[in-house]
Amino acid sequence: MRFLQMLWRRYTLLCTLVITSLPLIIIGWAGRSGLYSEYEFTPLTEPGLALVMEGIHDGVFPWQSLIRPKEAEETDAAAAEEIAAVSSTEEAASESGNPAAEYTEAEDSVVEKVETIPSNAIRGGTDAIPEGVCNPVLQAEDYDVVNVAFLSPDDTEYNTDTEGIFAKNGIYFKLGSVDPSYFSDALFIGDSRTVGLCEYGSLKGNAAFLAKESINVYNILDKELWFTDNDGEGWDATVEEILSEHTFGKVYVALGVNELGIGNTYMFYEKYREILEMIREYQPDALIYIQGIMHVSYEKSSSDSCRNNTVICQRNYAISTLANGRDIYYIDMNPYVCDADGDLISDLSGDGIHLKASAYERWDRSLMENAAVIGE
Amino acid sequence: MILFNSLAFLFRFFPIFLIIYFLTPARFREVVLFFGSIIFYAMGGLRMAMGLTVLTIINYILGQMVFSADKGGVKPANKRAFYAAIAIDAGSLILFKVLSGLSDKVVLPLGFSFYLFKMISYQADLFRGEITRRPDIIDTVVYFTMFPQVTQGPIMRWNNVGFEKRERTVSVKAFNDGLFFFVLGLGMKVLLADPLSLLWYEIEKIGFESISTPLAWMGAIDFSLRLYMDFWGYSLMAAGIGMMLGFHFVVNFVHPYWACGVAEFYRRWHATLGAWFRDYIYIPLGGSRKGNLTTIRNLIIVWMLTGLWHGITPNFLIWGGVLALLIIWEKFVVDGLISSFPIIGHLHVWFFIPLTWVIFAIPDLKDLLIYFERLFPFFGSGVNVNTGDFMKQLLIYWPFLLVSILLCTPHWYRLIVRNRKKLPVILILTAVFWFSVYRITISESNPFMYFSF
Repeated sequence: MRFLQMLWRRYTLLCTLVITSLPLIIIGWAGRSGLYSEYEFTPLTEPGLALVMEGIHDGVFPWQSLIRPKEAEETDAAAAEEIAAVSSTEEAASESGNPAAEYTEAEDSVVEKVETIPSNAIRGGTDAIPEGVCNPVLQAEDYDVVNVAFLSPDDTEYNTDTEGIFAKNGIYFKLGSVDPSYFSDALFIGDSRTVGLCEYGSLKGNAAFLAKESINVYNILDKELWFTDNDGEGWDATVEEILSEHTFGKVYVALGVNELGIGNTYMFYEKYREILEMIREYQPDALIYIQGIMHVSYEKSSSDSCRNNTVICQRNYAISTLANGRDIYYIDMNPYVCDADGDLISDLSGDGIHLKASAYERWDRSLMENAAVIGE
Repeated sequence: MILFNSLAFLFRFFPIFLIIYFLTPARFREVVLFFGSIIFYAMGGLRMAMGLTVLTIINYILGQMVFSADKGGVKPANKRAFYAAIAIDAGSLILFKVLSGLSDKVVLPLGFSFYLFKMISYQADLFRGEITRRPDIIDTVVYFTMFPQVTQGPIMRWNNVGFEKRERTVSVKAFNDGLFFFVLGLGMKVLLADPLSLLWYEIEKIGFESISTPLAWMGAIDFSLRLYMDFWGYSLMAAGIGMMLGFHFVVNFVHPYWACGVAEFYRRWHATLGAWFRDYIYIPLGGSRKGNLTTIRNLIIVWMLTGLWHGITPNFLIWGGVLALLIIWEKFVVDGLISSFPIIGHLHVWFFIPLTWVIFAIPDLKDLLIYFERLFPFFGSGVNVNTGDFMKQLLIYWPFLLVSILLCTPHWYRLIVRNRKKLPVILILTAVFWFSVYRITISESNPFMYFSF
């Protein structure tokens, strides 16, 4: 006892550090196969207390191990189901062929402008939809740095619906050019890239924006985003609040860059699909635009195991299958900002991921030249 | 790469090392330190560790030849061995700097310019007879490789850290002070420098041509503070570890932003590097004792070399050149004015130093010019500038900027240091430690956290 007193008196800071670390280490080690079983743990380089810290960051607090062991089991079961779902889709019936498409021309006033499709573009998941109705998915050079954990197998089948909101029922409208007034009833939902579009594009004060840094498909419905209305006024709001309180003619979605390192393509696709379903539920009459994820620069794409264009292209392909060419469109801005290899042109970006302020006019232009006008 | 601010260092390497170190009898501790340092450095890459080992052995052998055994100094030191050592050390430094500057494939080994500077000063001190006891192999390898300093300095000298005494005992006070400085430095690095670096990233993201003038100035101040917190924090961690192991505290930063004039700023900023250039370049060239023209020449040489030491892109030469001009201007033109009105010296620091850091920060000359056009907008106008950008960033970063600015003044820092044994300060430091660990854990488990888009 006297020894401990002496120790405390002499080495107070060391003692407080050691004393405070003990419970954390114990909780971490004790919870490593329980509360923290979902976290990767490498005891050789990482202390047990790192698990506690990671947990706190994700809102999993130590005391939860006392009150919710059952719930943890349930989430395990849910995760298992999800994995099963991924593999079962591989066996899913192949897409049932659409009957001869009844092609409906857009209004005459709309200049029918189909981008010359770059040679490295594929007609992706919009297969059964005639050319010019959706944008093709722009492909990019693969630099062989990808971590396959972020991809799904190449033969994964995505949307094969024959009925419901994602089904292609044979009525199509072409994309064409519009003037800025087209966007006065539009809402843009997205991450920091959309924040940039709002701050540096030409649509602020015309269209509405609902966006925030670090948003991804997994957290967008739980968080408050920053809403900017058509007059440029702004406040914090959730997606649900905005969709239920306002009516929009068009809803543009641009998500997918923050979750490039989370889960695989199929999980991303499923979440994306849920978000579109929710938008449709609140906005039954709106046109929905799925915006393909903008590619990253060569420097990024050739060195980053998740933020590279190989992952982006596969994910763009997956979400493009959700377009029906009738009231859900896939549009792809990449031809406006990418070089022949499909890499984001480095001069247009300060960090290889975002457009510089001076380059947002290209995004604006791609939006104005790829809009659907539905005839009465 | 192993960093002080990593979980592997804080919770694996360092505690285990400390326990072994203190269980070892005092006279064998250098051996433990040597093996610990090699393991530490080898974690950054085996090839780099081989390079360090080879250079260490070469310098030890040549150093033995340079050292004059005759205490009275009758037998002169071996000139040839000395020149060979300098040629090898300086040659490999220049070679690697140039190669790594020209090609992406050559990576400068971790801490290369720091330990080669130590090697050069070691040879010079031996040559001048400033090291009086013949260094033995253990002393020498420990001096070159010791892990608290091998990656980022400070550039310790043989004579001023206690290498003359062999048995390393650590007092209770030295250990506690060392731990205190280590935690303080950790907090500066993780809780201030790292968040501040995000603001600079934000500015790069927007593109220099599109930032408003207030944001351009905030960026210059942000970069100045971030560099300071980063480097001072790291120096404090290194010095703290050194103290915990029984070495003297190595002073590297003395409130530079409180300096009266640019020349004084650089006596207080990265002081061990400045002292190295003074002792091994400036003074051998004649210093300021051979007339004004020679002094000016020497200042220009020293500052150009300092620029090149930091990097071989043209912006570093401009940076060194501008600092040389500022120091010459202060020394020969406004010297009297600054002594009568110290505020002019302070204003010099606060105005010119952030501008020189902007030059330091931007390697591309075209971009650099654009940034200066945004700082001084009468030379050109921006592209698609959002005037609200300054307020947006200020609302996010003001706490980090404010605390960093407070730490620039000597008063706050001294207040903390003076009360370091009081319980409230200890509790605050404990919180700083855990909050730092939290941030480190999150950024390690998700390396992209800082870059959430």
